[in-house]
Amino acid sequence: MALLELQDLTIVFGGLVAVNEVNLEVKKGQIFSIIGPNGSGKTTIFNMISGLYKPTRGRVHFDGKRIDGKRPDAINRNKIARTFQNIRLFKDLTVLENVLIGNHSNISTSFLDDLLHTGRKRREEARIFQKSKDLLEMFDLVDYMDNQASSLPYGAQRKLEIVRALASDPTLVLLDEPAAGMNPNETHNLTDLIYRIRNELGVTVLLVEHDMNVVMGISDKVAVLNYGAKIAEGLPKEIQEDQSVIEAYLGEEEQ
Amino acid sequence: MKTRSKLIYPVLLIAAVAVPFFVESDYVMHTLIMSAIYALLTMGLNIITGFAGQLSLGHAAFFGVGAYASALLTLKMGMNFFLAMSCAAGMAWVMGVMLGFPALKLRGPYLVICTIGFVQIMHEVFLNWISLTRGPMGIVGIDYPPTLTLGSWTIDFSIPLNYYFLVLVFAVITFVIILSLLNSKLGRALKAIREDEIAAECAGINLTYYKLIAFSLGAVFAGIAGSLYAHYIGYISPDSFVLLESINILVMLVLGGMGTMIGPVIGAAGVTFLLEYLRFLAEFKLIFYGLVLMVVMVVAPGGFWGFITRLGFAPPGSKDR
Repeated sequence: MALLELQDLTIVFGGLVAVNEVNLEVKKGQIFSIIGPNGSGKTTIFNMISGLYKPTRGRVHFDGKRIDGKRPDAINRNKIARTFQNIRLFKDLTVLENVLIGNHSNISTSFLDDLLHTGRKRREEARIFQKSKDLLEMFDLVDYMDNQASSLPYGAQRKLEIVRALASDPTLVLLDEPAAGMNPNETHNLTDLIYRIRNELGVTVLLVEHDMNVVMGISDKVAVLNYGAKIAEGLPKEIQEDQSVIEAYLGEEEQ
Repeated sequence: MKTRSKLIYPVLLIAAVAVPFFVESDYVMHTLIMSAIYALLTMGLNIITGFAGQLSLGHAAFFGVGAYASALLTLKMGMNFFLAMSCAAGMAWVMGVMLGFPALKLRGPYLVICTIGFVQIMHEVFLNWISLTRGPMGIVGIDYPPTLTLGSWTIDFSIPLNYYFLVLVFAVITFVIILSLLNSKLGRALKAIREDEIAAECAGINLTYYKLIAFSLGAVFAGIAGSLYAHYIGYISPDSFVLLESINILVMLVLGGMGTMIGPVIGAAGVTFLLEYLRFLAEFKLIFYGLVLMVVMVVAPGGFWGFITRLGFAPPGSKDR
């Protein structure tokens, strides 16, 4: 059974059909990529899955539950986490604080625990501190732990966003152009990390990415969007040879 | 680094306890008590504006609700001071939730305008609900809290020194509450909302819940401050709870350092004493005060405590420690 299923997902802004009857099935444990020219609706789909936009028509099913139209925080509690195309870190806070905030959904302390500094609060705080540190270690960010998030180099900020998303223990993580602005070295490292997110942490990955080296190298399956509609779906190899995909991309380059 | 900055808390507490014993004039004692009341108000606003990032000019309304509720409950219903204060805090809490709702929809300047509207409405209520509040004549004859007897030890609150310690106890409790909430799930959620609302809600933070928490907590502390003010001054009128008072509290917060623990305390005491000690300038007082505000904001945009932090007396990175 599919972990994430989009059925006839459609959203209309004014007169513009930004996403048009898109159907997708992401299976548990997959690395699934969505590609397409700029403005083809990739991020808009992410915004509908994560609850920032309410679809005009269609449904989103996740883990057997219907989640479209729910608030973003409820969707995070349903174990979907995301990153953003234009990095949205908590800039003035430290790297560690960013990750601690990522844990929000699975901290079990109540207002009274926090207020009275109970044993339960101290245990929870110790637990999420250790967990956050381990995650930062995995992403080579632990040395920056006490630095202000905005002081990190660009590539590290992108990685920190991924760590923050993973801190909520998601079953599905949505990565929105994680390789954007990275140098080839960082991109190589990122590819490796995406594998580890899936293999070691067991998190299913839905990826929007422009860097074809990343997409074709790691994806189990790729879907292609153009003008809000899905024009192709298949294995990376099939997509590379698909005539309509080539046209969509060449068409963009001519403009 | 962290431990060094935490040393400042006991130092500040010892200073706050010791200072009144070096004060001989009633006038300075009065200024000290007002500083402590303003510290309570500023710490409350710090939760709303400093930590949760919701710019509000509604604080004088919570202050007023606390003052009127406490005064009326003791005078008209003969309620005990501490019980009346609890009720006043409860009413301020309700007001906080009410003002929190617009904050769910509005941001920045739009929210500010909305909170200004709230202060105006509350001022009109104090002014025109004459059967309850006596309108512009205000409420007179509000008593000091009753004398506390602990064994052979009696504390008479009509003595300024004792009243100062009463306010100080509430200020310290407030400080400790905010400090313990700050480095917890709740405190981090508020800071996340201040930094980026969209990222915060995608990280599982319920914006509605936490914004209402911020406004209602801030309002409760303002309500307690209102109660302490009314029973200290003995007379309250609508004039004390106007927009200018909200601005005054915001100035204390920003000058001291928004989003820090120490900043609101220093800002409240600093501004209260400054305004008293500039009296000799007569009509030039507010001009000079205005100049001070402008210079501080240009030199130290992070407020006094933000400035100290940058000089390296407190850890870099997080300005909230």
